Amino acid sequence: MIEGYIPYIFAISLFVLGLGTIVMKNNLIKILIGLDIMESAVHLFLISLGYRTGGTAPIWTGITGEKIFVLPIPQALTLTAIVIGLATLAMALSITVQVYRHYGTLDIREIRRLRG
Amino acid sequence: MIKRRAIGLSAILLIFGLLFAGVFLLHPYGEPDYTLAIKQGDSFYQRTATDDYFIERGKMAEESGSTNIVAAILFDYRGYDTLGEATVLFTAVAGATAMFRRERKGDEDE
Amino acid sequence: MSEKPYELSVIVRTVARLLFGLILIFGFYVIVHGHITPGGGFQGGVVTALAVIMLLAAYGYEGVVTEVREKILERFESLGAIMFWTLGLVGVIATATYFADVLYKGTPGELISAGTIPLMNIAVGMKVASGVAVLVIIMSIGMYYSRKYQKAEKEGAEE
Repeated sequence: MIEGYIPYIFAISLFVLGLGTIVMKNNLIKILIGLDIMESAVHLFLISLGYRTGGTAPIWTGITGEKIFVLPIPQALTLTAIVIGLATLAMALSITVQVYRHYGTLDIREIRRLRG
Repeated sequence: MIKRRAIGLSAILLIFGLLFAGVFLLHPYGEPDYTLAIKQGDSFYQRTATDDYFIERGKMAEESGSTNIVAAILFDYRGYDTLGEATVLFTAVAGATAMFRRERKGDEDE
Repeated sequence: MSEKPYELSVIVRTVARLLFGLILIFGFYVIVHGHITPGGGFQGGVVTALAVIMLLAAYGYEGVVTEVREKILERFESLGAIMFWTLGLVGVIATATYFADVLYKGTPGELISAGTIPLMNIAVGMKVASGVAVLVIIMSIGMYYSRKYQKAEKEGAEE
C-alpha cells in the first residue's frame, strides 16, 4: 500500500525538514535556507501529483500516434512558483543585509532584544 | 531554552504526523484522478477533466497552435497567472533597488 | 602579477570571457524556441542572466559594475513588462478576451506559429533575464557597501 505514496512521503519529509530548520535555527540566513527547502518540497509535491505512469514531458515534437503525457497544469504552476520563490528570496536577502547593517548581528534573539 | 526546543520539536513531529496521514487520502503516485470516461467504439477510455483537454486541443491551430503544452497553458489558458508572476518579479526588483540604489548615488557624488 | 583582490584567477576570467557570448546565444535560443521545444521565457531568461552572474563571480563587483549598467537593464525589464501587458491587450482588441491567442497561427511545430505565444515568450524572457541580473547586481552592491562600512567602522574604532 505504501509503495504508491513514497514520492509524497519524501516531499512532506523535506517540507518538515525545512520547517524544523526555521523553528530550530537562530541565524537569519539559515532560516532563509529552511524557507527555500520548504519551497522545493512544495515544487516536488506538485510535480509528483501530476505524474502519470510512463508519461513524458507534454511537448509534441516529432510524435506520431498514441503517447502518454504527464499532466501539464502542475508543471506550469511550478514554473510560476519557482520565479516567485526567486523574487521573494532575493527580497528577503536584501532585507537581511539591511538588518545586519542596522543591528550588527544575524541572531534573531539578539535582534529581538535590541528592538526599539 | 531546552523547554522551547522540546515544544518546537514536538510541534514539528505533530505536523509531520498530520501530513503523513493526509498523504494517503490522495491518489497513488502515477495514477491521477480520472473524472471523465469517453466512449470510443465499444470501450471506454478515461481522461482528466482539464489536463487532457489541454494536451489534446492545445496544439491545434484554432486553440493556441503551440506544440509545447506548458507554454500554451502559461501564456494562453492561464495567462493571468503569468501576469501576476511578472508583477511579483517587477515588485521584487523595484524593492531591492529602492533599498540599495541610494548608496551608490551618494558614492558617486563624493 | 598585479592581480586585484576581488578577481578570481586568470584561468577563470579567460573561460568566463570566452563562454559569455555562447551562454547568451544559448539563452536566446531557449527563449525563441519556447513554443516548440522544452524551455521558454522563464528558463531562457534565467540562462541569459547567468551569463552576467558568471562575469560577476569571475571579475567581482568592482570589475563588472563599470561594464554592466543596471539602469539600462531596469529599463529593459520595464520594456518587457509593458510588452507583455500590451500583447494581452491585443487579444482584448481582437476577440474581447484578455490573453486571447491571435495573430498568425501557421502550422503547429514551425518557428513562426502559435500566434502571440512566441512574442510573449520574448517579452517574459527579456523581463526575467534583466530582472534576475539586476537583482544579483543590486545585492552585490549592497554587500560591497556593507563591507566598506564595516572597514570604515573598524578603522574609526582603531583611531
